[in-house]
Amino acid sequence: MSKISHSQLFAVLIGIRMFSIICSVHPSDAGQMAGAAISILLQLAAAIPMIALYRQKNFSLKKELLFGKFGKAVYALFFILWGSVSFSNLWGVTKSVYFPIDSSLTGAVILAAICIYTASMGIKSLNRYSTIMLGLIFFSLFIMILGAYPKAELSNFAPNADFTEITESVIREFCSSGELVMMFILLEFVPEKRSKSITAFFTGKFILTELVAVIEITVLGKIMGLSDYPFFSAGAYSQPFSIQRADSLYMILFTMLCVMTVTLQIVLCSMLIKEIFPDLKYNTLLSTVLMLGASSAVNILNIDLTAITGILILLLAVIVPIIMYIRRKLKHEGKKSDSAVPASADA
Amino acid sequence: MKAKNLIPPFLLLLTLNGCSGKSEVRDKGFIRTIGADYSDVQNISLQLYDSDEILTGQGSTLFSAIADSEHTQGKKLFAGHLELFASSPENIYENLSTLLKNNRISPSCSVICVPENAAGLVSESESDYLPELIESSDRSGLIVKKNISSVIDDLLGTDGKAAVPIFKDKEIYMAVIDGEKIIGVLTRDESSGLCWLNGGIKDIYLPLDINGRKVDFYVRKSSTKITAEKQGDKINITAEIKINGNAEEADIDREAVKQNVSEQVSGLCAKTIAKTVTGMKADVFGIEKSINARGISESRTWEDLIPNINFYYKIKISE
Repeated sequence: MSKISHSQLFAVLIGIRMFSIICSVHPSDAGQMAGAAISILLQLAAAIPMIALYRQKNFSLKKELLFGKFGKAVYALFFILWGSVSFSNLWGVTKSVYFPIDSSLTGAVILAAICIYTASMGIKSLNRYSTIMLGLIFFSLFIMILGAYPKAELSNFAPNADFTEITESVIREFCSSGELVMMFILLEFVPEKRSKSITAFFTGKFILTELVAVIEITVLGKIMGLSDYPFFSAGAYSQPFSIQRADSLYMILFTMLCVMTVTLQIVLCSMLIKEIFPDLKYNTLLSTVLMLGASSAVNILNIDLTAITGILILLLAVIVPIIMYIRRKLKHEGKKSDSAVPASADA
Repeated sequence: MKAKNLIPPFLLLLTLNGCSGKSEVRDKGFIRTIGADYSDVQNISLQLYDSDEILTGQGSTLFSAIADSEHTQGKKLFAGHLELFASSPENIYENLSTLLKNNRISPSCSVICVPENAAGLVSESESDYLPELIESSDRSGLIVKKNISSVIDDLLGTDGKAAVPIFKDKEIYMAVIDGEKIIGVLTRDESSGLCWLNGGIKDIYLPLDINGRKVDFYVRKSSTKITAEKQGDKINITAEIKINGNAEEADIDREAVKQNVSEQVSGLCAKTIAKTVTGMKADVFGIEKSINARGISESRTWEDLIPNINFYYKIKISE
């Protein structure tokens, strides 16, 4: 089985998170920042059962996943859904932000072809790719800070937020945290230092989310309301170089993170499909086609998947690990009491 | 790695090299300046880089007018390097929003308002004239150079007004506009005061009169900070201007120089505030933002708030 080091897991999860941040269409403000911080804290708390489960002796997700093949099918469905969300994000961004491609569909098909290739290289290659991407994320943020510094106006930040706004932001942030489900599956491949990796991820996620929000608020001001994708607008307005198109760096980052996100969904999905139907061939291609199809359906029917993904994340990343943990504990205690009965009888 | 694994990337590289929709640079016309007037339709004039040719077009929207002007020559027009947008006040907000939403156009493109016939001005002037006039006037502290994003940011404030450079009677000043008309034009002194209130004046000379002696004060750099403070029913706005510079002559009373500079700068600022805030009910240097940034909650409307705002100046001069 392929192994992932704890630092690679951190890189993968940060990459997935960064893609969600880039694709966010919600304007940042004090309420959003407070909500995101609270949500990340709650997510860290929600990840505790997951960590506790993997700390159990001889635990194997592959063997012990709740509801067996049905459970695996639900997880596969989630990855197809998340992949389709990523494709929809690609379509949305290419329509709103200037991308030098003939059509959004062509872009998605080309990207899908690339993802099929990268997925066929396996999870090991993806991990190496994510490490490179982590470097690119840091570099892009450095350039963005460099460009934003002279243009940032602290007076754009108004520290006003009401309870409803914060609550909405907490829920929205949770619904966009698909990486929690991926983390649950990927932890199976991480042999050690899982807690360290998860703590580092949530710390990194908090810093990334708040940093990008601060840049967007201080650079864009009221224009944020007119912007379809605040991250790209902030990139376009904070030009550190004299040339006008320095924001192309963020387009490269977006495209490469999109490849990484979709590839991970394909890898995880095809892996689960293989476990459900061991004889089925072309799992990678099938997963990709399902993602593209789901994405087309979502776009044509104009469906908002936020609530569905939110419920699935809650179920698959929080409720399932809790049930599995309790079930394992009960089994373990049952075994203990079974072995204790004959001992007392002997006595 | 197996050799067959290399086949797909090579195929992708060969087939998806991005050359399918290519267009040569020589086939493109890069727009430098747009002049736009709006009555019932948009009338525009365009200047291109490295060309004396003036293109004109008409359309129901800005981009349809640009497309119309493209028909008059063979090149495909590209607006990604637009340097200046000169617009008559009618429909200016709509036009600027359209430009802002088009991601090909840099949000740092300069904006100038022309009271009448902006398209005519662009077609009659040399291609360097307006961009260079704006640059030099901004450098000299006569106007505040505004770009698409800063004008829209101002117009989206609660007062719905913005300060923009205006070209009037062959001179450049600052004016206050709303989304579709000019509210008023500032004088040379008031425009200068606005520059001080917006901050960032550097490398200019201030002429002083110290006991009848004419002296130049060199402003190396300056910065401005606008802060708000609530005091009962009133809101105190303080403009703290830090100036780094020195008198060009050594044998002069330094304290008198500082006093004179301070009086001159605060005098210019006072004139600007009287005209813009009190007279035009406009927030053109971030009053609302400074109030919001301090978390001072205000249920009063902007116009009700104005009589309750007190302005203070803190001029700090260092050598």
